[in-house]
Amino acid sequence: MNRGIIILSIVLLFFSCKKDLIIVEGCTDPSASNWNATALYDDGSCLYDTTIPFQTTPYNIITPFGFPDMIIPEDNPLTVEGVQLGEKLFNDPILSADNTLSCSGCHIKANSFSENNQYSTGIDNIEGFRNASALINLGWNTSFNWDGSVKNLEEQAFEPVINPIEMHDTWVNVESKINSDTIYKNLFKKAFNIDYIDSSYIVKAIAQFERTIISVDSKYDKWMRQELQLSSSELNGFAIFNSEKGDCFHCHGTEMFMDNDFHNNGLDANNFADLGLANITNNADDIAKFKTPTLRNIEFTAPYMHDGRFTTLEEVIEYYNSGGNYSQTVDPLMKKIGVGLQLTNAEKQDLINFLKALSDYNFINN
Amino acid sequence: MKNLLSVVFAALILISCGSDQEINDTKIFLNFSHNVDGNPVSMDGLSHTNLAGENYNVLTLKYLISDIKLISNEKDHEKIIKDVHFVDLSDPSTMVIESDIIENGSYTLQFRFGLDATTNVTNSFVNEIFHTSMSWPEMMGGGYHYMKLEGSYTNDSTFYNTHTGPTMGMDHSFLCSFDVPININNSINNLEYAIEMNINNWYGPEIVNLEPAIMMNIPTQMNLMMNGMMGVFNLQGLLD
Repeated sequence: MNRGIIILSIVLLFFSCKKDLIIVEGCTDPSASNWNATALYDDGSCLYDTTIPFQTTPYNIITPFGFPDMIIPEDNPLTVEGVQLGEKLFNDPILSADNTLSCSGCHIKANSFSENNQYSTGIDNIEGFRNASALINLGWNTSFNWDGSVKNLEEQAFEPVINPIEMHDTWVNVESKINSDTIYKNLFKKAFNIDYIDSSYIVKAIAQFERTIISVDSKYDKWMRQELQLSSSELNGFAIFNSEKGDCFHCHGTEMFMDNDFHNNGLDANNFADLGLANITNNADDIAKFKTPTLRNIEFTAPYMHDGRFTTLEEVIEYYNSGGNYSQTVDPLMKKIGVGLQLTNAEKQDLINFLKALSDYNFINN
Repeated sequence: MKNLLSVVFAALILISCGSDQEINDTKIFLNFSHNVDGNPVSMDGLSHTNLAGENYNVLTLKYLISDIKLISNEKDHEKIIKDVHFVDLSDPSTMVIESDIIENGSYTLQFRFGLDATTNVTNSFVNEIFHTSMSWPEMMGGGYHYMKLEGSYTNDSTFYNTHTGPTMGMDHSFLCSFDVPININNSINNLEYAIEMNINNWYGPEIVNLEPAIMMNIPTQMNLMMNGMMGVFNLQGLLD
């Protein structure tokens, strides 16, 4: 009996080893001249016909109704190859020091590329101090981060990778990891025609992808396109939003539902935990001013404000309804500090219903 | 043949001489300045007082002027300097307009405060810097604010929003012309002028009170328009 078990084990071991031996390695890139369709693992052997001039496929952005032309740097035009590469990088934890955290770890599609925690947690289990912003329609923003610390998406993408409370990596290390990966080598070759991948191309690819994250298919948009009708409550909310009764439009106006500007909306009277824009400008007039977020998809992006202090839209509306707190830099659009909008309960609900009509379910589900 | 050459030669000299007389490189610089009855604009305290006796300061001032042009005093031609210009008190780069080269002549400056009804259409300036900050909701008439003048009044934490624009599609824009002659000839280079706004003149002689919300208040919009026409702006020549 024991002998039979030993023989059976040897046979199983043999088959097991044999199975390992039939794994085919080779070039897995269909665009390579030596592409091996049966190869399961890329062994870095891909060869390319260098006589074919470098060519990329333009990625065309269709400007949504009422939006300006997108801001695209001349040295980083959108290409299909660049956008696909950027999406892969955005979702790849390779950018973090311990290969556990990707951009999408804190910017989750179901939350309109924000997250529902008040603060994001980095690879060292350290919490940040601001709420992760929603990443939609970024190509129409003139500055980024709550304090406007950077002016373009390429510059922005440099920061989280090396931030000690986020991905806590180094660009030297990231470059080393990316350059050791044959798939990335091929993808960067196709997107940028480069043999060595430096950080500037990594952030270019991420920025390209981010510019394609466009959300303009909410119930509101369909109403604007006359494809459906808003409910009477939503319409009343729309009227409150766009009149001085609610006065939302002065900061969240136009089809972008934001003004590319910074405001102190009176969240705190004094003792500011976060100086916001003033951290960047060193100007006392900018204390407690933060970038206006878009209200598109606001239903998906709780919690709210730069520090995620409000967990529901109801809390947000109630805050504005009570008028906020005075400080020297509070925006004059806040009008009646400590008094507020004085909306009725029904009006508050109408306003919330309109805000929920800005939700683009097709965007988060597809 | 010899006669033909002589004629061509004479014609060339004539054209050359004529050209010398008309060519100059004179530009006009229009500098925007703002005051309250001759005093500097104050953001602190409530140091200004309007005709209604309300004390206030100025925290925000943004406005649009359009159709900025020089009209020759012979009325035979106009020179458009700029179609639309956005002034933002907090942004020094918006405080000057530089014209192209202006041909010799005597001119009068004219511009429109705000945008006229045909120009003031929602989303017609989506690529301009003022698109997001000055848009005027469609349900209140659409287009763009003419002006956002904001600050504190009564106390530090009560704010007025003197926002002017096309309430329900009504055209409250108005023309401003100045009697100051602008003479351009070969002996000078650039000319500088100051377009001065006396902010207090928005609030009188037609009494306009400081209020938090006037966008739908047509009588107030009309009074602001009349006050504007009666002398909010002034043009001053500046010496080099």
